[in-house]
Amino acid sequence: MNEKYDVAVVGAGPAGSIAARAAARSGAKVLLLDKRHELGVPVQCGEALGEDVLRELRVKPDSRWAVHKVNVAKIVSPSGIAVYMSEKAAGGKIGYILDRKIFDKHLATLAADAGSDIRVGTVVDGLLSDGGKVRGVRARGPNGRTEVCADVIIAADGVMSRVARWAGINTVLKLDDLESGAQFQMVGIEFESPTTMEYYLSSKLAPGGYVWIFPKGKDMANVGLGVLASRAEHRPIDYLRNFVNSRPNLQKGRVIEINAGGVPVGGPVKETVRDGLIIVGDAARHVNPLTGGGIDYAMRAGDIAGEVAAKAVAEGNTSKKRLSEYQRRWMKLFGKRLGKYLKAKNVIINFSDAELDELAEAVQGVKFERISLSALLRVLIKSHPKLLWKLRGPM
Amino acid sequence: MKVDASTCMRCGACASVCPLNLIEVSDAQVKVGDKCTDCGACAKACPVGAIEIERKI
Ligand SMILES: Cc1cc2nc3c(=O)[nH]c(=O)nc-3n(C[C@H](O)[C@H](O)[C@H](O)COP(=O)(O)OP(=O)(O)OC[C@H]3O[C@@H](n4cnc5c(N)ncnc54)[C@H](O)[C@@H]3O)c2cc1C
Repeated sequence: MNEKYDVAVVGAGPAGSIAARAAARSGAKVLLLDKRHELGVPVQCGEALGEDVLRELRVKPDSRWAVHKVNVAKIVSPSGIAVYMSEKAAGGKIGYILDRKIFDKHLATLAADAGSDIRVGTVVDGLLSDGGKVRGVRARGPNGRTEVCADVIIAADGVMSRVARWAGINTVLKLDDLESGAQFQMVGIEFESPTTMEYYLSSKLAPGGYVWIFPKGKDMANVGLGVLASRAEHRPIDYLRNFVNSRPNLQKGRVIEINAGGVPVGGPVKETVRDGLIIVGDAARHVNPLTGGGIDYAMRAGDIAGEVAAKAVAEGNTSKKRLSEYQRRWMKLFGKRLGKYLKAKNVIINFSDAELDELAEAVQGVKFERISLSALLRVLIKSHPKLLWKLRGPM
Repeated sequence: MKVDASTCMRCGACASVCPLNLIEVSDAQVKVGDKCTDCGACAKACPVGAIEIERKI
């Protein structure tokens, strides 16, 4: 079979579905493909998302998928010193814990409502190209093999990022740039407060990463961790079991879901456009290297990508030069910020547990009026000259 | 490399670090191209330890 679309989007995660919605809204004929038979499943995510991106991209929060609200972050040092950041009661920002199984389907529905075609259970396993220019994808699905020609391919294929590599852009991750993560969704547990996200830092609990507890109800939470693949001495899932077994408040709970996944934490890829190709979201490593959060950036990048792709098709010019509008816009929107967090991560993951304790002690009493990573970094730098010295430069 | 299908969660962490882009992960299976050199990166990346490397002696 041979088909023709203006824009083909590979991967229907947050990046791909928002890209498909944006491209279809801008008038393009769009096909969204995903290898998954059920979008959003299996979950590979802690499911925490700030409200800003939903508001800005006009995705109206719905209790079916924005299942829980949080407004406090508690960060715990290796020896147990806690630093709190709270949103103000009035006018503070809402943090959501999502249900990605519903959320991802909802975003795909928005793409469909905008006019995009969708094909699930369909693996893209190669590119069609023409003298260096990408002109389509090869795929296999429930109805056999197909070739889809498209003027622009949007690679939203997540952490694996194979599409970009077929096009000659090296997105392979070094083990130093991959957080390998495991998570239990647990019920029947106790924690400090159902509105507090907890983060635990320690080379013993999670070398080069951290443990999180993100509440999803009064006795239910995502309990997970990421460890740097180059530093892990055990399987991430074993670190997680150890953590859970060492905490009386978790020990007595039950695991109703096991999740796993990789998070790219080496900063964005340098080249995110080629003739006829745009790379978005995890595939472009659009992830905060310090926290591992990527849903927000994936959606924002997808929105820009879809719009630029559709405009380029309408103008009859899908060259790298034309598509570089996308690269300029995501760089301006969040590229510098990710660069700053990458730098901070590279310093912080090399701190010893004793140094982390010192840092926590130094900022313990500070009253943060927002959950803000950059505010936290600023205070850390002020109160700890060694960090300032290590981070000196364009922060 | 050998993948234990019952342990594997199809997350794709292995594919993200494969220097030769040989790993395809789908709902049904993990397929590995025949040029695999058993470098072991995938096994280190796997969150659940589903990958075994058989060292050729
Ligand atoms: C353990 C863990 C915890 C995390 N916690 C958080 C968190 O709390 N908050 C946060 O913001 N981020 C978190 N992240 C990161 C977040 O999950 C990602 O950044 C986000 O999902 C990226 O969206 P995406 O659309 O780029 O990719 P994905 O959501 O990964 O979507 C990619 C899609 O492409 C499809 N696909 C891939 N290859 C092909 C192919 N060849 N053919 C067809 N389809 C294909 C996949 O099936 C998938 O549906 C976490 C990640 C992990 C692993």
